[in-house]
Amino acid sequence: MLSLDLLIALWLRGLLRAPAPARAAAPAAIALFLVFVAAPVSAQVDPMRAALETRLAFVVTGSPEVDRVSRAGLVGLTDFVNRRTAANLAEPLGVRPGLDDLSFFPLLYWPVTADQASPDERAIEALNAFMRDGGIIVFDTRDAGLGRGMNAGASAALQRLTRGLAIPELHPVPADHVLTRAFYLLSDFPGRYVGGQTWVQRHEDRANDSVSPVVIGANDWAAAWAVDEAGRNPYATVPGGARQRLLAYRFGVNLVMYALTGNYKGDQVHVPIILERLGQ
Amino acid sequence: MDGTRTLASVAFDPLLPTPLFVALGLLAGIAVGLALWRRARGAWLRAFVAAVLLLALANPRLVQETRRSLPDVAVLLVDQTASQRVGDRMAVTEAARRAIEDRARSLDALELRTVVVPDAGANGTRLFEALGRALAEVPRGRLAGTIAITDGQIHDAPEEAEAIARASGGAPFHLLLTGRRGETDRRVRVLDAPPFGIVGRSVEVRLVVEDLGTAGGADGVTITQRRDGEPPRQARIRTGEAHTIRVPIERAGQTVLEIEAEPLAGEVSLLNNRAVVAINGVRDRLRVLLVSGEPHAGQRTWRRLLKADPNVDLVHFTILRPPEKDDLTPLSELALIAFPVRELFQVKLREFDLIIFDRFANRGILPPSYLRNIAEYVRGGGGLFLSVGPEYVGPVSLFNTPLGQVLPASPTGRIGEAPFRARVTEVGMRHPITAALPGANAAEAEAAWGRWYRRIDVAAPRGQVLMSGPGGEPLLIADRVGEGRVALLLSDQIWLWSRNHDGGGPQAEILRRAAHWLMKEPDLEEEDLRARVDGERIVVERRSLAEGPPPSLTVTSPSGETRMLALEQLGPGRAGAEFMADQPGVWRLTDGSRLAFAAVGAGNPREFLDLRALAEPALPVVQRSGGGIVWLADQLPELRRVAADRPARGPGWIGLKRNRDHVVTGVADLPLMPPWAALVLILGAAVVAWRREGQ
Repeated sequence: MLSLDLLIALWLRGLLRAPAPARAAAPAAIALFLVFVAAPVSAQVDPMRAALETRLAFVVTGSPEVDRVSRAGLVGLTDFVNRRTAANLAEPLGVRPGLDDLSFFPLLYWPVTADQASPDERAIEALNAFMRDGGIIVFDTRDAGLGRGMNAGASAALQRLTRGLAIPELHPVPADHVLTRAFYLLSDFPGRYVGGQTWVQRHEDRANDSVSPVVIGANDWAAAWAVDEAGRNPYATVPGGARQRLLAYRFGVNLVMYALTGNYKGDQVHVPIILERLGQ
Repeated sequence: MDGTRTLASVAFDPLLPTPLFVALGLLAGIAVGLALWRRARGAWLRAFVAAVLLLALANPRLVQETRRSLPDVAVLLVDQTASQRVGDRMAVTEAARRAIEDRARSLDALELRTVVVPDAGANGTRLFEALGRALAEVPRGRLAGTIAITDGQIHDAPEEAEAIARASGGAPFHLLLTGRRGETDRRVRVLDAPPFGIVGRSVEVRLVVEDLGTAGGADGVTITQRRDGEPPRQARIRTGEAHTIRVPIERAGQTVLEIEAEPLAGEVSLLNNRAVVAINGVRDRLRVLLVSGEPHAGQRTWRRLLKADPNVDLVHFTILRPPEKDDLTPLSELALIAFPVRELFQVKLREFDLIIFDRFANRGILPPSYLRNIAEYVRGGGGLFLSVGPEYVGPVSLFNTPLGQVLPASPTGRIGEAPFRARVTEVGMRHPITAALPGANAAEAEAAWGRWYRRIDVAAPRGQVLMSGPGGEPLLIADRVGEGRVALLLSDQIWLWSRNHDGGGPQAEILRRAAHWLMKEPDLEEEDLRARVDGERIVVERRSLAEGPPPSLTVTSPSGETRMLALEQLGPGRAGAEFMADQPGVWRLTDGSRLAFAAVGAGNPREFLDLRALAEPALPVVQRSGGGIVWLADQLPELRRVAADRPARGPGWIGLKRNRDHVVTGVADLPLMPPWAALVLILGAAVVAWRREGQ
């Protein structure tokens, strides 16, 4: 009677059917196999080069056009930084999280496209370690202002790409944030477009020198920074003007300084003089 | 003696309550009296019946008691506290104890109970407490008296009249004193010593040197102060007057000050001519100046480390834009400021606890005079940490500035660029900065740390090489310059560890320890002898960079006895031992060059406050109880038994009261009017009476 009862109970709880994982395992294994086969096998970051020089890096999206803009943008920014600041940056590199060692880079520029693959488990682990150890990821959805529609689906893609990442609670960059005064004094952060909201970590993490591990914006900064072989800026700024591009570069400098010197300009010693200059 | 005696007596044990018995008696008396008066027949018989009945009710018994008299109890208190170890007091005490015990055995009906009064830590001699416990076990009626062998320095003597009367338990309290009459003693007494002090400031210790038992007034006396193994300093002060010593607190952790007064001619002991004051140095906040060169990927390692510590005030100085890169951007659009260099490197430089240079190249940014200031700051006792990259080689190297004089190694011009894993050197294994780092290289195995890729080659390093790079070349050097300290890290790659490259490494631990070593934190001294109290044990630790087995320590107990203590090797550069601290007070330990102190209980216990033998503390109890005071140096007193109402002392003898207490060991009880006899008599007489009445 008791056995009968147990069987009835198991039956009622639905435990007599075949265990589910066995059935689910097959497609997962196939997916895993596909990931390994599809991914490029070799990493391109040489530790000897990366460890000895400071350089910027961007996340390779797989879209040749977007990756080309990222590289040209970081080359342009590197050149600007080297000409006007004490920092000496080497040529930027494209990296694939999970495959390349991210630990050499202070900053990772990541243009968001609707069709790029979500990071796999190894990539998520590598990106989280990167942020935990002091790195900064700059997400750019490139769809602000007049750029809306140029990069359809970027917001949804951003949500998809950051699933699994340890993104802290964010808020719009406050007026007194170090990003607004890391080198230049800035009130907004234009790129190719203007008007996009830029987000940083809400709560300051003292263990990380109060540096936000993530910056999210939408102004397509790389396109504004980009230079071609002839040293010209191939992408027009919208609505336009030399001032917008200059401010875009200045934001780039502030971003680089934020990544290299952290909250340096937030130190108390600088505050009074900067406040005076700001006329407050 | 076991005196047994027998006593017999007749006792009445009425079967009825006395009033009822009396009432019955009266009633019978009236009835019999009436009968006799009327000359009633058989009245005499009636009277006999009533008498027998009353007698039966009164229940007369013959009681026979067997008694045993009890021996009286005397308590012998033997003071074995630390002050009794002065001079020959212990030997005198022991001789007196044996003699008293012998003499007590020859007295009849006396039991002697010996009670030892042990050290009671900081509380001094608790003689009356020990007596109270002993008396609690002696029946009051049997206490013959108390004999105390002591130096008279009793710290719990009763002060109120009632307590004084109670203390002796109603029997004579005799005081047998060790030591001599009119002893003198010089003592150092600490009046006021703060337990904590802020590093960089001074604290004031107030003390007084007093001459006890001397008639004279204030006198000059030389005191010697020793601090943390520094050369002793002497001062001349007056006895009986408070003297203030300023003690600069130069480092965090314990600063131990020992003050010793010169001996007073003929004084009883030198033990309390010395006082030890331990002051715990605490840092207010750590002020660190970080000077970094061009912004690079490693700069934030320093900021993350220093800003995360709420006890650190970081002043970070870096040049974001060198003069030659000025692009005519209006000042109102720049966040760059002219750094207050003069204030930092000239005016306030000495307020920093530590200065760190991170890949700093002097491209005309700091004038030589400022760098000279930093060199002077180091020589004067400051801490300097340098982490150098390729800029250390070539014309802008800091080595080519006035700061170069205090740097421990000069660049050869070579820069090694190849992957390698840092190794802790043999000396590094023993050095507090690099000893026992997690993941460090063992005898054969490589360290489990991430690779670095660049090392700056140097020639002829001074100081200690704690870590090495490829081929055993120096990587981390620690050196002492004048009063100050310098550490030089010959690579700009430590940030790779903080970014967890190739598994990362213990960068936070190394930099934290190096910083604290540079700031002379006692916990990170490479040559150190320390002792601390753990419960009743003293735990000693010795650190040394020297190879070979550790030397034995000489341990001096608070009462001045010395013994040797062997150290056991605990690890590279570390040896330790522990032992029971069986005395309160300050223990001194030395390995020949270094001195350590451990204070058990109060650093300056009551026991050593006054080392003269004195009758005064116990005098009220002696007088109230009628006991005697005998100086053992004069004579050893005879013991006598005296009656309770007789004096208990006389010349050359002390008396123990005779109480004549006893116990009843047996009682024989015989009824004199058994009920059956009474029944026969009453019935017989009554029947005869009735017959006579009926006739």
